[in-house]
Amino acid sequence: MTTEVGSETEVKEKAEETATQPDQPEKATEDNQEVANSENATAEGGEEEVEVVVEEEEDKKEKDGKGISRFLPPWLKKQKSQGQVVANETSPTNKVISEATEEEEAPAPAPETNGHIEEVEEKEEVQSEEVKQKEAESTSNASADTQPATEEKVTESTAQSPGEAKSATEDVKEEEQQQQQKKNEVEGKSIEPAATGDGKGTADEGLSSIFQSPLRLVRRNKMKLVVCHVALLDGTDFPCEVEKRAKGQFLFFKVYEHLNLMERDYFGLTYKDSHEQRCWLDPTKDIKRQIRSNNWQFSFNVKFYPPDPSLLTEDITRYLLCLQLREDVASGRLPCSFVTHALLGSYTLQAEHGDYEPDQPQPLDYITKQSFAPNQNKEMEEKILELHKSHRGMNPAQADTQFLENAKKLSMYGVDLHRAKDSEGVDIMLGVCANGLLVYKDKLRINRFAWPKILKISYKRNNYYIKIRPGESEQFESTVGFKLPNHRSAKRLWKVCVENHSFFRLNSPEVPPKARFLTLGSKFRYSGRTQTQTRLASSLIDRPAPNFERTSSKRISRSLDGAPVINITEAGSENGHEPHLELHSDSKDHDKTQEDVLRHQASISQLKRSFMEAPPPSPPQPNQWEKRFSSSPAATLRAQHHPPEQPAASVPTEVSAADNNSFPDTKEPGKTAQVEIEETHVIQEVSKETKPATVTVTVSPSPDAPEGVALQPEVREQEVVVVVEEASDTATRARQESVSSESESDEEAEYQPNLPSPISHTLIPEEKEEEVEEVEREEQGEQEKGVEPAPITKETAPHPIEASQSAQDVERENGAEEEKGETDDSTEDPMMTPDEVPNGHALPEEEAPGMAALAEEEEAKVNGESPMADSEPRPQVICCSEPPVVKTEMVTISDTFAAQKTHITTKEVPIVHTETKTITYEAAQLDNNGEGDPGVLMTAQTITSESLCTTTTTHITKTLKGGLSETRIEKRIVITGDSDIDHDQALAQAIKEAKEQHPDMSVTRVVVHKETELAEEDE
Amino acid sequence: MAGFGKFTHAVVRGIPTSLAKEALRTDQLDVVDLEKAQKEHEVYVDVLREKLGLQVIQLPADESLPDCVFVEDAAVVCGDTALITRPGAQSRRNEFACLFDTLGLLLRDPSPWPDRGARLLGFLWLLSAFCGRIATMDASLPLRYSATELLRLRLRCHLPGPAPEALHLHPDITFQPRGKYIHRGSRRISSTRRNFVYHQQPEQCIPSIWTPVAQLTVAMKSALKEMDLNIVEMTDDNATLDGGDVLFTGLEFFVGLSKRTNQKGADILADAFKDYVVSTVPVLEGLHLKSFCSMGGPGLIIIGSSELAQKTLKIMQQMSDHRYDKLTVPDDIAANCIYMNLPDKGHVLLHCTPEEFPESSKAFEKLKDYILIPVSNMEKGKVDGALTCCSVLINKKAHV
Repeated sequence: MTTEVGSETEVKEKAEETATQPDQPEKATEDNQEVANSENATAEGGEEEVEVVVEEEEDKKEKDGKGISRFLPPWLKKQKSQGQVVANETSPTNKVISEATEEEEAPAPAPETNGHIEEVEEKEEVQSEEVKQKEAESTSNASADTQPATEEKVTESTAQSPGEAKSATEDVKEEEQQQQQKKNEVEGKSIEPAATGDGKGTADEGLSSIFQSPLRLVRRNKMKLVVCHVALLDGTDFPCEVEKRAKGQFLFFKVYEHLNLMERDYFGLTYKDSHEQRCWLDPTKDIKRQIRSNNWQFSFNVKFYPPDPSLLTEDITRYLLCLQLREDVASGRLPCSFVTHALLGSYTLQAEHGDYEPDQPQPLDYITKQSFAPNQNKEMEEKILELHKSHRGMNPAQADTQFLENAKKLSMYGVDLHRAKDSEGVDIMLGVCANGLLVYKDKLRINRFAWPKILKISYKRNNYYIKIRPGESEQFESTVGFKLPNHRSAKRLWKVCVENHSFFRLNSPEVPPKARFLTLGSKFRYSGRTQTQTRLASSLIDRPAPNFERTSSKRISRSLDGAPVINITEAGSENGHEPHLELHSDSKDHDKTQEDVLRHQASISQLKRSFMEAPPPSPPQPNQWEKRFSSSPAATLRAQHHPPEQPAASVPTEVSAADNNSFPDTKEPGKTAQVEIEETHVIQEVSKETKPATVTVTVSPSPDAPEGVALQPEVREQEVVVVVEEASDTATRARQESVSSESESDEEAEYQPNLPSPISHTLIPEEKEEEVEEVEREEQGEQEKGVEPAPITKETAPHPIEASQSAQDVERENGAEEEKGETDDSTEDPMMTPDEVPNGHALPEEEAPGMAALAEEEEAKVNGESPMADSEPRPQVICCSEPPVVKTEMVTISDTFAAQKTHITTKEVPIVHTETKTITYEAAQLDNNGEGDPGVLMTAQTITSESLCTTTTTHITKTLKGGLSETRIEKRIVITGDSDIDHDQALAQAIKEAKEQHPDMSVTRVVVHKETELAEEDE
Repeated sequence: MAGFGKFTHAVVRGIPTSLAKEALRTDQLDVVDLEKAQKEHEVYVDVLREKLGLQVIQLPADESLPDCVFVEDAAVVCGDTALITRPGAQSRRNEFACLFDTLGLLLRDPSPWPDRGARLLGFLWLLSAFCGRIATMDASLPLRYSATELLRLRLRCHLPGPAPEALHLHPDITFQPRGKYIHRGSRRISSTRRNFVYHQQPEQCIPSIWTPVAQLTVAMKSALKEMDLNIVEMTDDNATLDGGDVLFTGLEFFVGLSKRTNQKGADILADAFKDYVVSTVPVLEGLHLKSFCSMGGPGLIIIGSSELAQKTLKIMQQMSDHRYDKLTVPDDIAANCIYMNLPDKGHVLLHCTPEEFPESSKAFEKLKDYILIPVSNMEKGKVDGALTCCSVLINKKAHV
């Protein structure tokens, strides 16, 4: 581990440094913590104090810096003179340390250096403690300690992972453990941390695992500090210092801290871009890159308006929401009638001024100063007063609640409007809200697309498209296009949609598709917590209701025109740096979504890029360009890669919270380069099934066991489901990343709203009906639509890149397809009730012969990974071999196919295991064959049972790896019928069943795939 | 939503004798029996007043307004706000009437335009305005006059060919033997300049269908004003809106874009009731949105079973953030019911009688805990009048 060496030396340096710097004032330590804004470490109690300090520091920043440098040894000064001023000037020690580090590491640009710098920089909070530790302990020891500890702070795991011992298993739990460990260490060994207040410590820790640690957001220490001005909802300005290179989240945390806000996910920070458009600050990106100006002005706003504010946990959250709504109402953004204005105004008065005092000298006075409505008049003020009188006795929290109850019903509550034109050039407004996308013309709602109705959101230049799920009577999806004023607005709208969809609709955010090459499009995904998660998290909030002051006076000065006014005045003295330079460096980086590189030449360079860059990784495709635009392959592939559903068995909060970043698996590989897609595409085409609905339940030993690494491509009728266990290592991830490179230009991006994981079905009961249809993404339509007719021949042509095996796969698939064609007739029969679904395998008696063939084919495909096993149809063997060692699984074996003449079910193949198996991607091949370590396969068996319209395939593999045995059960239930199937129920049943049958195991993945008969025409 | 269906007042209007022959209607199959119709209406009002205990404000019938009994079209009341509409069928005519009146005035009475040049300019201006109107006019609608028809009418020129049907229909228009159409009201209007002014001041204008915007709504407006409602008027000349196209679900509005209602009208409605989402729904056939649906309770839409109705319901469901249950009845017109939620009676539903629609009235029996009151609407139904058309229901809270 090269890293360790580095860290060692570094630590030594640190030690030295600390030695030279006599003792560190305790206060400084606290400052560090504050600046680092570590949620974990910052003590609730110490907060106020700390803040004061920070402000002071701000003032004396400059001279401080100089003053310190006087004391530094010359070699340190030299560093400083390079302009690499340490960001964390609040603590001299830190600065020195990091400078020392820098100097030491400067000559070595190796990745591990990065890691170290980050380590040092990102860990101001702990640094001083650590340093002390290190002093005390042997240096090597210390470095060993810190190394893993930092891991969790590191944002880009890829950068650092090589150096980290435990990187292979980046489990949240582990992270948490580490964190905790570290914290314990810190708290145990040093005196200062005790000041962080143990009382809050534990509660905070729990939360901190959920809230991402802000520390990881700070990237470089060498940048100057910048004073950000954040306009808060109460009208005050919150100045705070951040490093220039800080990520958005850093600022978020500062603000949250300042506000003492726990339910944070509903809020966000906005800034004005160079076109005076309001944009949301992306927490995961550098602030500087987003704002692209020296104007560090932000405003704190509600980003996601909770549909039911009464479900918020804390009053302070509601209060902030109220403030936002008051502003919205007063500015006219949230239109409401006279009566409502008056009512809302009266609640505002009640909340802010308490009971109506008749003997007040001039009762109307304080009203007139406050703005309640865009066109406030005497009459309204009188009405407000009148209503105010009737609220006597209501406390502020109640008044706020009432306010929200009334406000949430308003027609434009939580609707984010964007100007656009429809396809005929008519001016409309597009409104994004919790439920979907709304189309307004003037004040009228003329259309509405609920999230479940939307298959895909994309934009291309200034066009914005949504692909609509076909209705009952329609055959094909339709795409609705809107024109936005420019591509920036299209992108902004797209982002807002992605975020809103993720927040309100998903259980856990999608992992942004990662890509190494061929990445041109936006990888933007919502990175925060979803509403589900945030509710869960906030249900854990366990703190006394924070005290906060309701202020109204400050709000008076708010301008009437609405949006919090941000002055364009220069933020501060910090501008030493050229925006232009920034721009250039940015524009080279196409992977970054957030940056608005988009200038005029963008499209041109885009074209160039896509033409020039696309070929290298893969041989040129004749129709690649055309495909790029047709978007179907990408879409199809994405559709196949369903985000792994959350472990359905239990939804412990940590797990869901962990989703953010702890699932290394490819949740949604997302857009894929055309070239690589080819094959998958074929697979999909393969089946023109009538309408099987498939429920796949994968059961595997509890996720805790780290060995459960399995990445099995399962090829079903036309879907490829990649099951990736949680534990898959970084290597896998890297591979996945390369798979998912994407071919869209920066000016366009797509987003396919994901299927909600099973949990959401239960959590969002009101939408059930819609979700039924929604459970599965259908790719067929796309293909049929003829957007890209892609003849089979082309597809089957093995791609140069692809290993031969994949080619085989393809062929096999085709073969299977033909067979399927034959069986088609027999399969399209009766529909079954959802209840039967999960039981299908338990009812071996009622098998429809017709189904057997189909099932068997599937079977073959399922095990497609092992060519040998599959290529030869075996006699029908229904086999259930109970492995000697392993926990026994209840398996119902049905002798279904006995009569059938097909190939079979049993696999005794060495396939099963391993993380490396990606669908058809070349790398997978390598791994599969070359890697070799996957453990010993003990048994693999497949059991298939059928009933009239269900086919249940149970695939059990047991592997022995190290000393652990792992049993994986995959159950696939295919329901064939000609009418709608209640997927929710099927799913629920499947999960329940799986749980019942294997109580000692955990359900790791459930996929429901629905196909409708659309495909038939294709044939 | 909680207060949905609570009403304290109802505004109704008498049936004029001209209803039978002169009311606008989409088909003329059956002859309206005036007496029966009046009887029906009495029963209707009685139910509102006696059975349901509403305070009924009865406006006198106006002979010159055959359709005046259908008060619903004249106003949309929700909460404390009343929107006085511009009913579509008439306002379009009125618009042309004004234009033509001006034109006629110009031709006959040159006094406002002193010299020839100004007169020519004025004429050209009017002509261009007129042409502009033609362009925006939907000529396919049967009950609206086409530009040509109006031109014929106004300029007293009878072009060869049969007289347009629409002109026959209208009570105010007579076909003179020598091939000229005469319009009773407009003749007077255009004869003097003073009368022209009346067009600008609807309250004073002469009783003619050519100026019915005021006529149909004037009485309504004053009645509502008396009730201390917040009155909003449609001032936009291009906006039309029939109350029959407005479905208020308690949570939001649906406005049917029909022959009688246009986008602009809906927009004004949205402006008047800002608190609510106003969604537009195309009504391709039939008269009004409420010709085939109505609310049957909080979150319950009663809908006809015709394809059109079902399709419209789909659209409404898609457009809404809320979920609605539906009660499908076999006959479209039977789906027009009056739902109330009265403090001492609970759910009340006025619906069609078994005599009219035996199947449909059975469907209502599914509604448990409802007081079902069948109300006959046979005669009024012949002139496209549904149950809801005959009253404007108002919830006027007792003053605090």
